[in-house]
Amino acid sequence: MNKIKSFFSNNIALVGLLIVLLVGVCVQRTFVSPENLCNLLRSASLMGFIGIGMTFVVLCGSIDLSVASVFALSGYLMLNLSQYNIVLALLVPLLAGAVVGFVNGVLVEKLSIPAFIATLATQMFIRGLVQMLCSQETYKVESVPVPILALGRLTFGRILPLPLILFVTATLIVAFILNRRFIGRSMYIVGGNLEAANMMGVSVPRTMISAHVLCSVLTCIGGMIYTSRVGVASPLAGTGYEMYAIAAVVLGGAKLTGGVGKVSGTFIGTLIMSSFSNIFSMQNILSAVWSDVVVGSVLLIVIMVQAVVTLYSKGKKEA
Amino acid sequence: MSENILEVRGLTKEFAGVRALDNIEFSVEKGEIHALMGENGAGKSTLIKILTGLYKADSGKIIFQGEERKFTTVLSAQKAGISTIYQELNMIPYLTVSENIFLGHYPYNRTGIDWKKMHEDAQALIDELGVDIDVKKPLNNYSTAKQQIISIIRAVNFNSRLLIMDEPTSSLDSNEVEILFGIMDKMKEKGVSMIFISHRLDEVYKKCDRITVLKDGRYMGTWKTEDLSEYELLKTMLGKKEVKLERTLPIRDFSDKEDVLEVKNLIRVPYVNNVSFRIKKGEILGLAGLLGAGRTETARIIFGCDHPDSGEIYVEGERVKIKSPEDAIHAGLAFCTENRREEGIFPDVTVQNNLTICSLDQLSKNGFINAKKRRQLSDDYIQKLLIKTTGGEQLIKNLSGGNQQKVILSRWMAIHPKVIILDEPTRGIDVGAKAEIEKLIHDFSDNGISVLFISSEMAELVRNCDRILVLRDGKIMGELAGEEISEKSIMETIVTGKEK
Repeated sequence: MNKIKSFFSNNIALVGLLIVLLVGVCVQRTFVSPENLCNLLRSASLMGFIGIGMTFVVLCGSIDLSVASVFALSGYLMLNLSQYNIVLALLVPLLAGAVVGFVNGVLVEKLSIPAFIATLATQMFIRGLVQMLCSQETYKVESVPVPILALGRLTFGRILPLPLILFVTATLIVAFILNRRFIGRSMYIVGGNLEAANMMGVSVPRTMISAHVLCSVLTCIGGMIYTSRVGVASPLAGTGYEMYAIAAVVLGGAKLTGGVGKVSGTFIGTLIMSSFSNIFSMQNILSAVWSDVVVGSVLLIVIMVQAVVTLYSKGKKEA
Repeated sequence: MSENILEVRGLTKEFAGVRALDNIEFSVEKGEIHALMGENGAGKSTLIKILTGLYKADSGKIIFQGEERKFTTVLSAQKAGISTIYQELNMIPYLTVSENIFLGHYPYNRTGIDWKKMHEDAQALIDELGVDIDVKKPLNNYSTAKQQIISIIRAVNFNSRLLIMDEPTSSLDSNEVEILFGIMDKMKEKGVSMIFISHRLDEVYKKCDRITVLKDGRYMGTWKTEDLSEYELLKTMLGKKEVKLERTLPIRDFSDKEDVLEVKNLIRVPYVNNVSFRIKKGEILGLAGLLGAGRTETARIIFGCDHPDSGEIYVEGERVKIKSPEDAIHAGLAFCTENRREEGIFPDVTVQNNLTICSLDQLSKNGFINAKKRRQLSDDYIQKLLIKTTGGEQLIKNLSGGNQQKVILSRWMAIHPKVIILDEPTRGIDVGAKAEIEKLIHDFSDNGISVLFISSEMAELVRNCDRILVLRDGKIMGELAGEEISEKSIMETIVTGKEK
């Protein structure tokens, strides 16, 4: 009994996902068709990269709002450079992401600027930059090289999209870093108790900056796949995605104050978020304007359940 | 057993011209538990901070394991073998017990951190001590006592030879203290030395081999525990020859006055253990005792800052339910905190706003504050209490400690309380201002306000109280009134109690 209880309190996200999937099936039988699931997982992958990147940052007790526009920047850079050199088109966006992440990390850690403000500023700055680069229009190139297009469009055996393979691989790598490498554990330590981290000789700046860099780089991968999928770079790509990513991380059981969270949770959180929009687009009971209301309500319910469970389990400590 | 693991020679440290430590001599033997005693401002925490690398000494030597050492960071002291176990634990609450033990020294296998080995090794360390802890559970699943044990295991596993335990028992109940003591014995057998800081005399006498006393930054001596009686210890810690001890208050009789505040059987484990008392109208009741004896804790419960496990509070004969300071204020209580900077003042706000913050109701009409009345009220008190300020518009942080305290006292006077609780009202205040504040206490009393007066300076209590309750480990040891009150009688009551 206790085991079942602790399983549920540790995996509320999984329970949530099951409920959402059940609702999906009830609303529309074709929800579980291979084509639809393939679609769902593909779109989840795009968002998912931001989410798993955000997991690093949130674990440290920080936050990154700039991902929304970094997402757009990486797409533009890839498309633009794809006309000259495919290798550069794949590497430069990642490098740009790393630079942004580094700047964010330095602002937050070295200058002690609240992460919310610092990354809000970089978000706006980069969004403006992308709009300038695109001349405020959707940016197109004459012919996109096949490898670049394949990044977002290749599907193995009709149901296994390349983005999903990349996303699952990335999630496994992130899980490995978080569980088996010192830098990953440092993020839990820094987010869990900053003072103790210092006293135990864990470098807070190195940890913080690494988290922000990893977050931005992963976001760039997501942005590149997205751009490859749609074939053009929109200056408004990724608007609002920072909040979806944070929602996915929190749904996955992470604490915004840091120190608690798992990438597997974020993975499930991402699936929940994507299932919502998928289910919504498939039904005709509620009009599309209700979409955010429903997402917001469900998010609130899940988080309230988490809060109650935490309060309840806090009450009975072992002696 | 005479080998010294730590020797401190001539350690001196000044802060802005004030000597916090003056030529301290002190040594700890291998495998001994050494008590470090002293009241507030004795220099204990400064000494510890130097030993653990948080502060740098101005002069003097630290010889650890035969070598002269200078620690510049906490980590360097830890690496050398000195660890501190704080009452506020420096570990990571959400991570597993085993990770907290091995943090920074993870066992690795070919692919990365070896969790299996870490769990096994940690469990072995725990089992060796015979404690019931599952290392795979998060640290915050366990009680403070167990967390403390885990932090000791961590330190010893880190190869610490000297553990500094800073009030490790202050938030533990008696069973938990026993568990902790058991672990300390086992560490002692392993040859680990411990510096033990506690304000509970019983614990010190039960567990410690030797006692060193500091007072006002000076070294008072080291004794074998069996050679120093509790009374002598208190005298060394608290006694002050140079201070004048005459009462400044006439002996007054309150037997015909009504009770204003009555507290019945207040309990908050483990801090306050069945405290009951009453205060008459206009009476000044002192609370005496060592740090951690439950004085502040009692006051905080009465004022609704903390919640008691049980107990009743009556104001003017009527039972009141105080769930928050707001309730307490409505019941006619006021509380001047011992932590002026953290809990008393709003540093970046003007004197006037600090002074009137509790009286805005009486200054308002229809929800609007009458600015003129507010200025009037503030100016009145600035004049009456001779607060040295450029005016009500000055920021309170720019005032001296004594003047800040007067602003706080004015804040409470302005709401005309029935009882005011003063917790260390003269702490960190220069001598001149101290005398003024003591006079204010008498003024309260003359105006029919009852005073509950907490102070660590016995002389202050002796001078200003009608009656004194003596506390020890959360219990009332006795009550002294009128001519009975003296430094000696207070100390004797702490040691042996007093039959009523």
